This record gives sequence, structure tokens and C-alpha cells, in this order.
Amino acid sequence: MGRYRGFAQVEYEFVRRRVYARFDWTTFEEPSPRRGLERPLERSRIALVATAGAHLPGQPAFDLGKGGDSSYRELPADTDELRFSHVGYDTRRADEDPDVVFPLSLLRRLAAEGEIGELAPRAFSFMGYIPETEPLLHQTGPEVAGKLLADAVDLVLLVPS
Amino acid sequence: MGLLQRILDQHGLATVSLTQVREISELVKPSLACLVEHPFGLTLGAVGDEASHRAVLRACLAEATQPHPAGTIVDLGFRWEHDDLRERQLRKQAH
Repeated sequence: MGRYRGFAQVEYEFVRRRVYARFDWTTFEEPSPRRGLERPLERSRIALVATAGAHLPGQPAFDLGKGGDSSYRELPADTDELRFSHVGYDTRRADEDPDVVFPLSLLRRLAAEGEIGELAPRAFSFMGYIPETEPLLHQTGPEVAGKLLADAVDLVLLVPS
Repeated sequence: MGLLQRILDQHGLATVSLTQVREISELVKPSLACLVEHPFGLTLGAVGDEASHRAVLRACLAEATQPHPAGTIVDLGFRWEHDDLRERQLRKQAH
């Protein structure tokens, strides 16, 4: 009997055995508080935050080493110049069609069609393999939260990969 | 993804996320997650399948407008039927 259910146990065993012996899930007893959307989607400013490992051609790629990478990249919402570096999935699919994991282009189209109000001026990407979560919890995550608040976003859409 | 969402929630931001694995979201308990059972690396659907990408995104954003209690995981009902990639990924037999 494992500690976790389903894929959570499979991933736990895999990472500890093959990649990072100290790995464990960071878990919580209570959900984080939910703030509801305060205006209709068609008048909302929406920000994209993803863990796809997206970055601009001129930005450093993410560290694909066994220790993971808790850093993030800030990307202007109008960019089409996306690159992907990630240890957890085959990035060739995202290279071919970024919308599969980083739907910035699709969100721009939804804004142009009036389904959402507008896209926030910048999006943020992390690389989802972060076995040591303290830097994310106490440094880079709060930094991004502050930037999203400064951008006065109404809703943050988070997309994993 | 859920950890990052929790941080944004704690800062008072309205958030909604996609998730591909219910049991991991259950461990982390972000404010609102929407389940799509697609492969890793194909969260919104297959390469070039804009209709699916739009459907996933619209369904997810629509849930953000609903009065769900904190910790809700909504199954959006999207399943991967193209091949066995997701099943192999879940067994760590594919990337």
C-alpha cells in the first residue's frame, strides 16, 4: 500500500528512485481561499500563468537538471516567439503548436472575438519540475503574485503541462 | 501548478486552473481546478486541434464564473481518445 493514490504514488516512487531521492509532495489539509470573479468574462482582464517551460528566444532556458528550477520567465502577451524547455513532457508538440500547453495565441483570439475582455500585458511561465518547493513558495511565486496584482488582472488562468 | 495557484489565491487573486491528474490536485487543494484527462504536454488537446483547445478553455473559464466552494475540482469531461499516450505516461512508459 503506497502513501498516495494513483499517479501521485507512481510519480512519487519514480522521482525518488530515478531523479531526486528526497522528493515528496507538498500537501495541504485545507483548500486555499477562493476569490470569485467580480465581473463578466467579456469585461475581464485575464492573465496566463503556465508551467510549460515557455520562454523567449533571448531568455535563458530552464534548468533541466535533477534539482529542478523554481525560476520563471515573463513574456509579453503579444509574443509569438516561444521556446519550450521542460523535463516532464515532450516539448516538440508545444514547439509545433504552443496552444497545447501555453494558449497565449488562443486567448488573444478570444479577446479579439469579445469572449474575454482583454489579455493581461504579460504572461508568466515556470517549468513544472520543482522538487524543492521552498523557493517557489517564498520567493518566485510571491513575486509573480505581486506582478499580477500590479497588472490589475481580474482572473488568472493556470495551465499545467 | 496547484502550489503556484495556492500562492496566487493567498494573495487575493481570482484563479482557475486546469489539471490533468485529480489525485495530485486533491493533495494540494487549490481554490478551483478543472480536470481534463489529456496527456502531459497536450493539456488543451492534440496539436492543431483548435476546436478542442477552444472547448477546453471556454469550459474552464466558464467554471470561474460559478460560485464553487474553495477546493472544488470540476471534471470538464474531456477524455483522450486518440491513442494510448496518456495511459503510457501514467505508467511512466512514455514522455
